[in-house]
Amino acid sequence: MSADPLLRVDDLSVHFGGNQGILDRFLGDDKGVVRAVDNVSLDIGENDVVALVGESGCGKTTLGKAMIGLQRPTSGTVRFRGQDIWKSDLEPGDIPYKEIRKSLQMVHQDAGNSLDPNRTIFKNLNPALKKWRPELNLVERRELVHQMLDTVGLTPADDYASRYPHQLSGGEAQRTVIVRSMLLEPDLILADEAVSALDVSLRVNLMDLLLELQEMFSTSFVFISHNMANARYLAGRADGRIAVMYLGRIVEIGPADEIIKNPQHPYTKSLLWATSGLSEINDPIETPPVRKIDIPDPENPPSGCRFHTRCPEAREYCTSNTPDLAGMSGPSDRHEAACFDAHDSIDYRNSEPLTDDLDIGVADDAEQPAD
Amino acid sequence: MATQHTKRKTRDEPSAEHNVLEITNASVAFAMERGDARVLDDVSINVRRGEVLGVVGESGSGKSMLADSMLDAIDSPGTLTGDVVFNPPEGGEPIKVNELSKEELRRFRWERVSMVVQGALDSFNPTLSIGDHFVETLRAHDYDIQEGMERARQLISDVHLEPDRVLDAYPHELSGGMKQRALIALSLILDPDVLVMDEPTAALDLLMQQSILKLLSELKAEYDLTIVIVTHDLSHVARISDRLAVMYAFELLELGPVQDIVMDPAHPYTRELLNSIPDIDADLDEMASIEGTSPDPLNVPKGCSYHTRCPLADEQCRATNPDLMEVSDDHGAACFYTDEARETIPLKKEVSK
Repeated sequence: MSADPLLRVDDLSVHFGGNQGILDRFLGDDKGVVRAVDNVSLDIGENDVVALVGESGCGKTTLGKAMIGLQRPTSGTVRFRGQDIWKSDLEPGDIPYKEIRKSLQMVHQDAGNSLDPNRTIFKNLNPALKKWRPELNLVERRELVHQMLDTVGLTPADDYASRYPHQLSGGEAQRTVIVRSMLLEPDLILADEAVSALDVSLRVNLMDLLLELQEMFSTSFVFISHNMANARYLAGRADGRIAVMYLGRIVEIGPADEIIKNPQHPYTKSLLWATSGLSEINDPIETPPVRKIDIPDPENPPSGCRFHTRCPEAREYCTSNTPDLAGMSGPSDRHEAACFDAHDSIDYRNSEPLTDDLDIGVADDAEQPAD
Repeated sequence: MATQHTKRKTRDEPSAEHNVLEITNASVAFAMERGDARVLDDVSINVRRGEVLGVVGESGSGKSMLADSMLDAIDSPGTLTGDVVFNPPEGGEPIKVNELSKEELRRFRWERVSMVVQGALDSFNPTLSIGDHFVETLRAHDYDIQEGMERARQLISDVHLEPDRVLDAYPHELSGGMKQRALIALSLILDPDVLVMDEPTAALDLLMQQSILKLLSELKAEYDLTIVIVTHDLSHVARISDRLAVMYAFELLELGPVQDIVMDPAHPYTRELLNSIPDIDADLDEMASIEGTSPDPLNVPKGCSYHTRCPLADEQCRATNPDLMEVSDDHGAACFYTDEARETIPLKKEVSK
């Protein structure tokens, strides 16, 4: 085996839309272009778990889809075991495209809607097996499906296999979709908000199932989530990493525990502020640790560090310079953050703090405690 | 630091002075092909003046129906039985909400009790500007437009939006979080006494959710509001609520001060629910789901509705449905075995006093 990781994302960008008029192109006017993913690099190893966290519109789903070859990148590459997944002229010894497609699977956000309502569960699961495992006959396929349904707790399996999707609860539909992706024995599964539609009391159960399957089949997982608590649970249990995205960039990445207990980027800190645990119920909610609560227009992202318009630590320097992801000096060498403050940059220290319109009432709160 | 949870001396006695809304034996039923679906089953609860009441439950627990009954806003063909009584803060005759005429009800809503519904982001008319919505509401209730718009501007800046920009904007020009805040401002335009919010933040990002909760606690103090928040996420509303009501299978299972409910709930369901929440501070190995699923509205189990999932259930639970019984001062649970529940289902999360 080569030293290449399972999946290597290198300087990946995905841009959408924009005025495609010929005049705009001549004038170099890229107004209206949304840089959903902008220069992201990320390695995913064998048996690795990464949770991508961010607010809606931060590009986490687009990055995920680009990673598994469902979205063609504008620039940059995604390499599967060293081979560009968009490589068109394959040479002898290369991994066939079919093989790559099969190895990178996805579990969609809305499980109920990703099953064909007119087919039974078995008939929903059968086509994928038929296509990718042609050596199996119908009896063997049925056996395999039943076995997998059993594994995810949909028992009795033959009963579930003959049901229609509307006869399943949300959690059961979610399990079925997970089975469908696992049947192909992929190397990497992208799970897009796989648990957020479920009731709170069922989430841990489903996350445990995903982790069990991950261990059982040594599959790598990329979980997309907007919820820090869920991301921490998944990544934490599997000894994986959390990557925090903001407006198309990864601003911080590291082991789950490090990100939760020792966040370095102000944006990560603000996400953690928003995820208050039950142990804080006696404290009033503090003022948000951001200067503005609204996300800037992604068509027109701020210059420099994209978080500078909301960042409480932002200084002049941040408005024109873009910080890169760099390792933190800390207990973990896998912890990286893209922030001048976290890295104690000298240029940053020497510039003036930004003190513009604080629109969330920080000043009032500082003077006197609210009643 | 300011203390948020000021101890009030009010207990659940039926005193009109303290209770702004009194709901007694409220039930909602829908006639369906497969039979009658009871989506709210004999719920009695009082909403106290000036409190934040969090109503917590999973999907299909009847929590939205409880919220809707507070304004008698049950969609046809659903029918509301029982009593919903509103006590005006200025004194005077209590208003029987579910006996109001259509016109009286129209006035009652917005002016007395205002509601922010679920899926609020679609609540705006896409062909009207945000400002038009304010004008329309003021006009429909015969309020002075100019005076009302002054108040609108104040409310909009209270929710950290720019009045000039937002009033002229159309709904599609605002982000989800901005729309939600504009809607909260709109719901307060006629100075209601009670604000009922059904999943007010569910579709929003966490940062925005928390910011809106923070805003609500500010608005509550400023406008002397009573707030009812309905949500599926207990940990989310715990910090701004004074009391929590836990619903399961269309019934009220537990009701009490938020500290009691979170630190030592008495109902097995609440205890297991707390243990199942993926909490950011809790130990990773100590979270577990509740086995089984919530019952179908057409087929709620006899006896205690939770007995099919409850580890403590016995003959009595299968036969008789317990009423909300007092556990301690101001704290009630609908369970025969509250002491046993506290013993046999340990809380896995340590909540700091």
